Amino acid sequence: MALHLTTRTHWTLPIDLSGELPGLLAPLSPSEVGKRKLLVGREQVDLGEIFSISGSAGDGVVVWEGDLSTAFGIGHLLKEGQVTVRGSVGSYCGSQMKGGSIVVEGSAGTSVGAAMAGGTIHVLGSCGNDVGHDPRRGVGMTGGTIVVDGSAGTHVGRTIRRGTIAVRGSVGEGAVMDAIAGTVIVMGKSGRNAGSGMRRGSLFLLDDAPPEILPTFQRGRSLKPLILSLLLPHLASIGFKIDPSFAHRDMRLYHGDMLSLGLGEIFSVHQGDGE
Amino acid sequence: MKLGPTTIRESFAEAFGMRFTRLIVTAHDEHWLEAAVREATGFATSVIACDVEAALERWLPTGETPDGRLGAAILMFGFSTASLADSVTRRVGQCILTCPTTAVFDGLPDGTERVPLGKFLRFFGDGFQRSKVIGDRRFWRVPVMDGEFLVEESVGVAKGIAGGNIILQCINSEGALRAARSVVDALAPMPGVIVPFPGGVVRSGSKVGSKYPKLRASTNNAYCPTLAGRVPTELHPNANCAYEVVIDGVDEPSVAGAMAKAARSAAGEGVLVIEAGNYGGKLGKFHFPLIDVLERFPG
Amino acid sequence: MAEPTIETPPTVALTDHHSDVVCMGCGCLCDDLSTQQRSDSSSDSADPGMLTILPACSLAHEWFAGLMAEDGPACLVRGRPVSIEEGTAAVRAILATAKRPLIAGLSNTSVEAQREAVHLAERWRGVLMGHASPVAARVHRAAQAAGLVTSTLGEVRQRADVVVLWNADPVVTHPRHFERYSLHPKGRFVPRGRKDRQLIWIGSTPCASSELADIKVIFAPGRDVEALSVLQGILNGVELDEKMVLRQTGVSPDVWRDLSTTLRQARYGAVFYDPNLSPESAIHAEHDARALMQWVTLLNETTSFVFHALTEGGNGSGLEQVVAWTTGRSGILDFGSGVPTVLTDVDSAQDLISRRSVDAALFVSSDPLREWEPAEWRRLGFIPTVVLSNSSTATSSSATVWFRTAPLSYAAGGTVFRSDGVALRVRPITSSALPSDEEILRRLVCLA
Repeated sequence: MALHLTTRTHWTLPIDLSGELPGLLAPLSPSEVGKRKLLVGREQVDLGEIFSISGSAGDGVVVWEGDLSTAFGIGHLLKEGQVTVRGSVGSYCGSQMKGGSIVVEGSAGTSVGAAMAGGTIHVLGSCGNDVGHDPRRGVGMTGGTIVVDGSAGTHVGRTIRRGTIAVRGSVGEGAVMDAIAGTVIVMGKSGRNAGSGMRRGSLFLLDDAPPEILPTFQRGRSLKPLILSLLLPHLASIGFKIDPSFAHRDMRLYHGDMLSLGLGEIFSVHQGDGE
Repeated sequence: MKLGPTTIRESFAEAFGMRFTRLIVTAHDEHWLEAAVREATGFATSVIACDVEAALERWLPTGETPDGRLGAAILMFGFSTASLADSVTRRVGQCILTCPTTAVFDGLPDGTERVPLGKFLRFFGDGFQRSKVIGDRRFWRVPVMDGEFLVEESVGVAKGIAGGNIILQCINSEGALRAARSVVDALAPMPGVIVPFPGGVVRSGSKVGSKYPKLRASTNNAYCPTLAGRVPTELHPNANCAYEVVIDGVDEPSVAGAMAKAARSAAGEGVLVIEAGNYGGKLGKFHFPLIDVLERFPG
Repeated sequence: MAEPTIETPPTVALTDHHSDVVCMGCGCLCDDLSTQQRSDSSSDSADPGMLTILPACSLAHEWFAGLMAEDGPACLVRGRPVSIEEGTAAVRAILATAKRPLIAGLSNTSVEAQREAVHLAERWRGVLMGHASPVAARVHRAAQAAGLVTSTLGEVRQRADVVVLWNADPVVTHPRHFERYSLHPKGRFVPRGRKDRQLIWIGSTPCASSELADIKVIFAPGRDVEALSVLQGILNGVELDEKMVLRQTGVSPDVWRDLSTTLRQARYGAVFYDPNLSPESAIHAEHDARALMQWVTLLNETTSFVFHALTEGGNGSGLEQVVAWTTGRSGILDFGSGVPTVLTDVDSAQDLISRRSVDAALFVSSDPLREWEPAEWRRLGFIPTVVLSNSSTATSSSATVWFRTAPLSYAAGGTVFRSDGVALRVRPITSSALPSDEEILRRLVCLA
């Protein structure tokens, strides 16, 4: 029996939900949940005024429903339990989370899973900019997994240190920019400037279109990335299925960014012209 | 007790507590997988003189391996976690890292202890090694001449049991070999147990000590048909050939179950007596009374 | 736009002469202008020809023309003239009912007024636009990520023997830049002025400035990051794929190598980049600026190089500085929780208003509606607005409360920051009965 929180009306002002974690709501009765204070703009508003409440989070499950596109910080610092959003959410969903899981059935705003350290986030719609990256602190994710069924904005996985991001659609410019390590898989098109400044880490471009690779990446050989055969089942286990044959396809490897440490790699399904 | 024509002699197997680990080895195809397994489990029959007791646990179909290729589970038993750690790294480093297309994964993620594997082997990469953390497991990718050797950072170690056994006393050599092989075939698909001797069978059953002070073990003369009549013998009056199958397992039930299955698959025409071997009961912590085991695990 | 007056007509009496006047018409922020007010009653009072500006600069002329003070009531509430006290009371009512007021458009006012605006945002827990434009914000972010080697423009004037223009056209956008800072001045280490300096123009669209350059490198449009990667790669000794370089930048690797050699031989180099010229989006500006800053940092391994962004006019640099020193943050700040939090999912005031994410707005010395499509204007009609401006604009005429304030550098004084962080004192060149932005904002802060 999960705790269901449904918005009563359409909100345009931002609602701060960064404190409403399953573990914290679990012992509370519905009326106690309703008395929790939320910051809306600059005002403290009773949660019960914004959301209708049913069920209990005793099983560690919280379900948000309705129009949450202005709600930010859902699942911030989540350690355990499960958060489901039946709709779209605002920015900083799952930021700095350490465990547990978040499923967003709509789209998410910017900085999904910003600087997260563990757990999983599954966005069924699309994401804004800075997936996994917290531009306020300039810090990227250090663990966990983010999967996005739609597309994502610019700077996916910027300054990522560990963890995995997979995007089924296209991504904007500057993917894995300044990455320290970590893994990003893009199944659609990738914008320019991907991997700029990356030190270590892997970017998999699984789209057949020729990729835009910066001149400071060095073209390597064609090979089968065995590590994909471990990644794909891992992603499948959180509901993100990729054709397993990708693990057995030859991919072009590019090493870079040579302006940085140069231990990063971009694998592209497109072989490139063999000049 | 009788199993068909075969007598089950009241006896017990005396087994020892050991540390073990399970490696999952995968490769491009059966040929290279077999090659890797054969090498990695070579010279690993008995800790009397080998560093570990190791053998193939079972073949793994593509659906059961972490990377979706054909695989094999290997069990390795050692005296201590430290000695096991050393042996596993050496054996993987020399026998699997070297074998074309292979990769090695931890088959015991729930083990009570962990010993480093990729953590040491990665240095073969000379700085070009990369790591990947997937979920909460870390893997190392070591560049080699056919691509990359993928190896898990560490493998789990748990407490297991080595030394479960049965001894078959048979009328002649042909019948004994047939019975022994049917035992090994029956145990092959069983998870959690290995038969580490050549082909799963040992002909040189041993006793503790020797007339030569330096030898820790020597031939079990009471079971040698050529000595029957000259020294006191345990052999059935009509028995002219005996074999032992030594079983190491991950826990007590798996060793006991394997002994029961072994005895049942061996029993039949030409097999006069099946019994279990021991050293008087004072050396090993675990005793497996054969009749008791057969009652616990009815066919 | 009227043509600038070049010489003083001898028939006009000099009634009011000012020297060392600061012009905020472009990012140069020249502080050496002379102005002469002519008492020529036959002229239309709105004619900028009333003011003679020396030296003549079209942008200065345009700037001062835009400042000609309009007369009228100091405060209007819904179009009705009221006293300033009544006006501030009306603003208080707006701010007290708002759940999330926006304070924006601060880049054309003085540092003193900006400081009051930050206080006001903090007091009413509103949202503060802490940057001049989305592009300026992105360049700032690039500097935070990449690090920035820079100097004052005075140092460039005294030292720079190599001046690099990256996709910049100061001849048009910053007309006196060459004369005052970068190319022509005779400096301590460049005693012969232009003769001691080498002008290198790198960009994709040739322009008036590129015509003056000693060396020109024209690369494929929009390939700034690739070109800068190549340049950094050369400095770093990275093995580059020759064909790839040619294909991606449209320029042969030899040209980039020669250029790098020239730059490395500079004693002191200055790179000027105009983020407002090239990029199709603010993200491009961030990537280009980041790559430029990294390149300049690399050049510093062997010689001295500094980076400067050519900014728009006004006091955007002052705004960044004020916000930084008062809050320790930069960008769009939300004081809703009581502590300033940087908003990273919006770029502009228009974003916030179109999403109806704010429910009141206060614009200081700016006319946001000028940049909006008329169809979008009604969005602002949903929320009460307060406007501080001198001239009547689309924004001020639709405002709930409009304070007519004295324009900075014409009728009001204050401090502004040049793009290199040098503070300049602005003195008014005429007196006005109207209060300054600072005074009105201070009253609003004190209302609390």
